[in-house]
Amino acid sequence: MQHWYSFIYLYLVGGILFGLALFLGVKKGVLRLKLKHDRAVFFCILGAYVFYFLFQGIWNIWAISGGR
Amino acid sequence: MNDTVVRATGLDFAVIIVYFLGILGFGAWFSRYTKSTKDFFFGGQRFSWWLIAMSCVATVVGSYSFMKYSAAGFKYGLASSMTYLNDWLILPFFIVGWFPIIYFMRVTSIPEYFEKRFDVRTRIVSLVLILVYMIGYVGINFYTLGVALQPLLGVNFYVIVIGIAIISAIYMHAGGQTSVIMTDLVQGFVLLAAGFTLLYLGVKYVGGLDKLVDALPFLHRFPLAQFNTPPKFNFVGIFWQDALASSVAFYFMNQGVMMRFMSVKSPRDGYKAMFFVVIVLMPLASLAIANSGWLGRGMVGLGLLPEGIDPNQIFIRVASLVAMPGVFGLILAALTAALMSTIDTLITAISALFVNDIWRPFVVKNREDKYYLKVARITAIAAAVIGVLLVPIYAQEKSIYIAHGKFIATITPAMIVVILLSVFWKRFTPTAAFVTLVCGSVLVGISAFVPDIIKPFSHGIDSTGGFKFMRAFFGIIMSVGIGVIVSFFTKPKADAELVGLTIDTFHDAKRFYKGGEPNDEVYGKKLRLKVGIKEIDGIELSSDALSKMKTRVGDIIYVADARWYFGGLRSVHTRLVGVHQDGHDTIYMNKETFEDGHFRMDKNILAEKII
Repeated sequence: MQHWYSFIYLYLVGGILFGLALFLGVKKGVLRLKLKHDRAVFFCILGAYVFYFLFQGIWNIWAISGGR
Repeated sequence: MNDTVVRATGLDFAVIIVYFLGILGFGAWFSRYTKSTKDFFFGGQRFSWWLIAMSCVATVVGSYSFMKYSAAGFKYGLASSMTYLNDWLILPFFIVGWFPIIYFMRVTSIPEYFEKRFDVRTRIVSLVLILVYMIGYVGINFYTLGVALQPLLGVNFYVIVIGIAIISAIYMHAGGQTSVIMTDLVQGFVLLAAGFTLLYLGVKYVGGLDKLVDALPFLHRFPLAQFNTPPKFNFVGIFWQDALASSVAFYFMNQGVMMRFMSVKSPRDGYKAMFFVVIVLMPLASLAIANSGWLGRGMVGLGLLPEGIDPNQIFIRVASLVAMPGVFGLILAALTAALMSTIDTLITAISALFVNDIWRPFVVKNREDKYYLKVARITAIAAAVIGVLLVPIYAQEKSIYIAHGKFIATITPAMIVVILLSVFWKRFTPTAAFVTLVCGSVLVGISAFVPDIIKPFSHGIDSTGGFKFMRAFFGIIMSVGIGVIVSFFTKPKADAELVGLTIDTFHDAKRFYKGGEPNDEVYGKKLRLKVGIKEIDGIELSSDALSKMKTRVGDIIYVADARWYFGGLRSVHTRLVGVHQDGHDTIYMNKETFEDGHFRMDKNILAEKII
């Protein structure tokens, strides 16, 4: 489990900060989700989080399994 | 086992000289696109996202990056890539906050934003801090490159530094931001090409990828460092110092990067550039920059390098071992590219700060733009000269070099907190901003001498090393605390004075940019059109084109040469002023607009609605 502490902290604490900024962007109307292009930007931002979450998560599993 | 470090051969020198001359000619050629200060500082705000993204990566990678990240890769393994792979964290802060606001409000510098958002004293404090940071940084880049190249080239340290300074100054003086973007595009490719060539040759040298992975110690294979050990390279310290503080500082506080993103043709292209940097280019850059450290560790494991090798020399040692003459020259060119692309950005930024924040508002006001363009060009050369003059000081007095690093670490937490609160919290008051900048920096400064005050924030990190990596976290928490508390006891600016400057009034920023009601709910097609010349104050399109582009009279339209590889170099922003009936595929503009866009009558034009 200790090999997951950094990963959990990164995507939990980082995720909270990330989500807060995104939430404010939507709440204040910077991203208007009813509009197609704003929706695309919203999902691209969210996609970056998911991409790195999966990328580093799979990498971590690979490392724990001894690089096989 | 080969313990000797090779020196550049005649072929390597030939590669480097051809590279230098190529960059010089390429950069200087773009001077024809620089006719105003807007062109000089912001490249006329005309470039496509891919040009900005690629050139941005060259700026991220400094001359010290190959050395620093290879050393980290050697000592700590694949986790050295963390620094380049955590920019996702600041994506929403940048995309829904900082970038569109400064773009639409046509802000030219961070101090200027601070004056609009707060007051003149905050502008002056931030200007001083940023200038000290940037001028010192120019000297550091020159110094670190000289240190890296001198033993390899066997040429006098100062000859290298002065030679590179002259080349950079010539093309920057001539073409400003346009030359910087274009040369950085090339330098970005050179950096990545050299890094991947080294990786390919290194993997081949050790006998394949499987052998390399097997030779890495278990803990060297993880993507992230261990949570709070060792004190000099642990995850939580890097998270706060790097993922948050340094990333925000780089994308929000670095005037050069701000100007790069301001050079993009529209905020939508700015978003694309940022996504591409974060998701594609940064992982590639991390692989290109740090791989010699991983290779070096593998080589030690396989007995190809000695166990006690100096990590700071690992990049050079690995490059020496695996690269043949000519390829070694390419790697040296990449080191130089890393420097030049960082230096040119910094120098253009210093020039912009000097002209827009000192000369124009306080020294010589209300002169024609050509005069300020001349001042900008002279300042660019002066900044390069000052950077070179700092090199012998750094060389002789290491404590100044270290002090500059400490200065950056001291001011960064308070500065980034002020930037973020400015944009995201309209209740943040001018007094709170000023107090946060000053007191936040002072507290971080004190923590360097009394590290125990960081202990409550240390996440269990051992005190060895004085909690150096947790200083950013301490500074951020303290600065947020000061900013929030002082805001609640002081008077905020009236809403009317904050129009367009916070995310609460984002759509006012769009109105300011357009000079009217934005038309950005639906975007239509980009159209390829033929040019016609007519004496009008803007452009005219057919009603069919208006319908396809979902645009209307009064909108801002981006008109560019339709050949994609120009990346917007031949383009102009203009206003749709009327509808013609002469044919669906014709766009009318006046002669001046035609010449400003560097268009040709025999080539098609691409028209796109901006807002």
